[in-house]
Amino acid sequence: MSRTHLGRSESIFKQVRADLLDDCVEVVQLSTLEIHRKRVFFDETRMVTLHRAIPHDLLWTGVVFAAIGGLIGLALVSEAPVVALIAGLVFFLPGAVMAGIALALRSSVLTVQGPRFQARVVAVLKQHRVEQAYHHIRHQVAAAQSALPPEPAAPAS
Amino acid sequence: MSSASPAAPALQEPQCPRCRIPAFLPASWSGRARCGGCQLEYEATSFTPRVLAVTTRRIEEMVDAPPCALHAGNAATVTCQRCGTFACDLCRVDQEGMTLCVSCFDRLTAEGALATTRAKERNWGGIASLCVIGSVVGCGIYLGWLLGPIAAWAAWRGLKQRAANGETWGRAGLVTTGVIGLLFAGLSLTVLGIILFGIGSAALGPSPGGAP
Repeated sequence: MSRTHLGRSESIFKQVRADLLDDCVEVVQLSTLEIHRKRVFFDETRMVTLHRAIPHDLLWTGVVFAAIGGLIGLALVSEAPVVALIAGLVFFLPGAVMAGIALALRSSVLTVQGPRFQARVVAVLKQHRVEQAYHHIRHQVAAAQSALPPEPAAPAS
Repeated sequence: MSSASPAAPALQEPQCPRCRIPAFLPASWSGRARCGGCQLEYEATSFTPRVLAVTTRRIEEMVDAPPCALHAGNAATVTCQRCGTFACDLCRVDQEGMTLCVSCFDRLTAEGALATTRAKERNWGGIASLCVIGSVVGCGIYLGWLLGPIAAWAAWRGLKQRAANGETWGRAGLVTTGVIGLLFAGLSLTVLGIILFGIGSAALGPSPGGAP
């Protein structure tokens, strides 16, 4: 069984990974104690989509950083201008750059929709990988569904 | 006593990838689509997966056959290997070398007894990390001898689990976690040994008021 990594997203408590297997797309949710696996098989896939979206996680992290830096800077600019400048450099500038990158980059979002579950892959940096995967999965799904045995003929009355 | 089998999950229609309202695209279609709700433009390819048809025999065609337990009009072709219920071709589920009826399949799936339908498993890598964190942050010296070997064992199970699933990621992290666990166990045992040796030698040593 071959396995190609498509993408992953991480938070403090959970990591989500998406892999492309021979006959399905597998989404693995790793929490501290358990692993949940969900698969969308190609022979029952109903739709594959690809679109561009603003990466909200990156955007909001940047905005929060910039806001914290800006507020600290504004609060201290008259009392301690050096501290205000440092706060601006440490928080505001990286936050603003991060938010700018998020707005400029736009992530690629791939969804593979099955009858029970929708696999979702979001790529911010490696977008070409997801775009290649979209075309690959389209062909795989078409091949898997055309390989199904033909429906039996209706019995003659 | 009767027990209701779990309801079958509702099947999803194709949806807009952003707002998730149903997307009414033509069958077997490919190109750019626009969502009627959120106006998102997206690339889409729709498919119409074939539903596998099952042919069943009517009871009138097979007079000697018993009727199916769920479909009285259908002739049973198998008996469930778990409960012995008669089942027609519509009801039989062939799974992991067994022929089951629908209710037994649902029950075994709910119990997690069928490996092919299991969607949840223990995260041995996470358990190993938790044990190492516990021995580092908590009482490393006092509990490291216990948590360290557990961390190493869980890391070993994690490596085997990843290998069984064909996953190649995170191996270095698991090996490192196991090694750190063993190091903490060794450190803890050494420190505890020194403490016990000190206590023992103090208890067995000559008392201050003893003979010279």
